[in-house]
Amino acid sequence: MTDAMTDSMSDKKPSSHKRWLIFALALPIIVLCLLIVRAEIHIGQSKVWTFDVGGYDPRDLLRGHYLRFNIQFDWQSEANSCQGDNDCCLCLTDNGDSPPKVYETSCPVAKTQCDGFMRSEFRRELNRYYVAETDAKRAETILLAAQAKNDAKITLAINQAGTPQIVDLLIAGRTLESHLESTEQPEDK
Amino acid sequence: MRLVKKLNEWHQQGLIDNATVSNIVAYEQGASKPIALWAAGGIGALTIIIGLVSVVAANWAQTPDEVKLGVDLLIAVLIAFALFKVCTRQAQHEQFLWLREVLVITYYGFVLASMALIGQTYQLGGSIAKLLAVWTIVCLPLVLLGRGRILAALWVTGSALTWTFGLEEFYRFLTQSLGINKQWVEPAIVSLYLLAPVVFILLSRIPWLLRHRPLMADHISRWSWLAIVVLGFVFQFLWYERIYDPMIPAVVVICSIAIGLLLWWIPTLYATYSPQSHLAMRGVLALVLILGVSGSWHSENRYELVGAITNLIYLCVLAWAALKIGAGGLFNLATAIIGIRILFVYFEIFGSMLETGLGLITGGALTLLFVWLWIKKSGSLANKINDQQREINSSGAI
Repeated sequence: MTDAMTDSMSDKKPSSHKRWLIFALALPIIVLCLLIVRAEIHIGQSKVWTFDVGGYDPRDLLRGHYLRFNIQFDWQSEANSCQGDNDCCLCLTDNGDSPPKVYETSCPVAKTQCDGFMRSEFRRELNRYYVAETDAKRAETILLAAQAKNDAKITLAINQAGTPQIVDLLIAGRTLESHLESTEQPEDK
Repeated sequence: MRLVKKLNEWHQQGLIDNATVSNIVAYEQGASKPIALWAAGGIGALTIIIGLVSVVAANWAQTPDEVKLGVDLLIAVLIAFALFKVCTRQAQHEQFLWLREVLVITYYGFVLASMALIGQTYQLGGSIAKLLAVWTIVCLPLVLLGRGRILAALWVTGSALTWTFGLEEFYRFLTQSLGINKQWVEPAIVSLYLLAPVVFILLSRIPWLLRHRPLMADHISRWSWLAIVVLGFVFQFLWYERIYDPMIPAVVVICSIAIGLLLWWIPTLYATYSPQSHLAMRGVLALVLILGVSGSWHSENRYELVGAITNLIYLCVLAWAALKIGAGGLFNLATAIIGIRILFVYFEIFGSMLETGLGLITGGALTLLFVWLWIKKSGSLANKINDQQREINSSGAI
């Protein structure tokens, strides 16, 4: 075992060893910082769109510490024109205070002719909203009640490349977090 | 404890004197301490990782996002700084090597937990494949700072998961983004799933890894071979199902070419191993390929008996390979499974009580015969294993 533990860097120059060591140790921190910066830039430079939300199944809404939902797009299905599943985008038409009108078309068309667009491949990833363990049950109850009144919405920040990022889950126009802050949490304690 | 008991037995029988007992016990205690220390360190670091992941999963709400992310980055910097200090010490005592290993494992897990925390904070809905791919690539230089077997096992597990999830994402990329026909992509992806152990064997034979991280290379290789052995065992079940898929011939061709090349390269890849070990490796690998190909080459009927017999042949070859490489434990395990497998054949093949009863009687008799042969031959087998082990040790293999 001792042989195996001999320092591999011992045959290298000390400066080269240190450079390699610093690179190996700093790389994860740099990447973590880049992930944070990328997420911040995404939200800062994107247009925010609001969509209606529906649950998959009320009995199966809460999975671990995230709420599962399904975005209810306001489809203009007669306008769908993208064949197959290659390079398709959702074309978003601004509809004032209401959720945008949506149809699927090829991405080059969507980029030039729509108010906004989202790449279709990201649709399957937009189905979960993380909540704190201590708030999970109350969040589920709030979302269930909101769905019954068609009052739940999700806001997405969609950048110029058509990549979406979830910003907030809105219940009756307020964020889920503000609902949780304003309510008691006896059952969670 | 077991060793002390054995030593006392030998002492009572007058085989060794008191001084020899004391010397052996003192030597073993000295040698076993670091192993216990390293194992405990690895388990401790692993526990911290699981705890960190659990805390992240709780996604505690009371703490503002900026504080959560700030503290997370601060902890990462502190671990990195501690690791830097330990790695740059001139005196490389055992305890510093141990500390380095523990810190590398902790940092390795902490990076994954941090990525998950960022994902939760910003509600990033990205796939787990991307998360694992970034983690594995970013942490590769970090992992190469470590040495031990627990880190090697963790890295193999993490990389195997990355490979598995990554292939799914790669399939989507090829079919959806590049628009390549699924008919071409599917056999390639299925083959890459099956050939994962081969990829890891090739990784474990990289000269730099062999020269500078022999323990890690050895463990990556062992895990890969274990996966191949398990795959060979699982292939018996192909005979238990009606199998038909148009992609199978293409998968068979791709896998056969890859395994054929590996069979050819084994003496080069394992240059320090004895010719006996090469023969054992080639025998097992070739048989696993044959079992996979033959098992998937039928479509209409189920042939349970063929599956059971091929499995027994496979276990016998495994026992032979164990003899060839001088692995007594593996030989005993393979022979024990053969006995149990013979009994199971009768449960699987026959249906009625009478048939099952007769089958069990015959199976039991066969098992007893097998055990009797084993006892009769065990002396000469033990000598053979010792001879093989001596030969391997003298040639410097393993």
